[in-house]
Amino acid sequence: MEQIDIIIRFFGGLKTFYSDSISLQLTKGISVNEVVGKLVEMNSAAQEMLDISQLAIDSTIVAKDFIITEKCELIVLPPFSGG
Amino acid sequence: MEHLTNKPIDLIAAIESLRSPLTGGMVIFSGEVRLSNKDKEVDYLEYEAYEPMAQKKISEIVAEAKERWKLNNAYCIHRLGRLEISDCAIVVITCGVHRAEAYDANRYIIDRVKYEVPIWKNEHFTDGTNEWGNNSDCKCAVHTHEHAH
Repeated sequence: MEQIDIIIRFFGGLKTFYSDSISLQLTKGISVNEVVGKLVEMNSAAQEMLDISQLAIDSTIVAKDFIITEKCELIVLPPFSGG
Repeated sequence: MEHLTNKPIDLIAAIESLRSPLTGGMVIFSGEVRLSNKDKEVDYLEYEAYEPMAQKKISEIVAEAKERWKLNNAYCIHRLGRLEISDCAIVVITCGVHRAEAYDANRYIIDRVKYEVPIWKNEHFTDGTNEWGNNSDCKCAVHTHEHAH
């Protein structure tokens, strides 16, 4: 199975559970939801916040069933608190 | 137009740059750092953003407001980094022929920015603790008007 590099960047409260970013080698064709599952495996305490977070690739929000087919930067966006 | 800055926001310069003989009503909202939140004394705030997306999203919101209310001008800038008490975190300025559309558009912009733009606030309290904010539990934001989205 072909592997691809996925850089995952965290913001806001998710930095409490992870560093600013991590790099994972995952199977090509993995869904965003499966990547989130990997993150929960790494730190189950983050699950509640991950469940209410949005995911983005290239500044665009992607659905949890989005399939990742190439190297990318996946941005994990917890609920916003600007203003 | 830049919608994010790490420097203090120059409110007076922003107002001057937006003046127009076509404008009859200019509404200015300045979101400022207050001393207390959740019964705790705030020491300072730190804001961070996913900048490419935040810049793009604010730009879209401002453009939509200008179109919807036929504004002469509209402006929104959000501060990032460390802010002290009474610092200005965000400024929204809307300029209309009359005040009604300037008020409505201004509220539309600030409400959407709070809920839709990837910016996060980390509140540092004087007791040494800190907490990431969440606008979903914000009591001050009233989301009653109809949105175009």
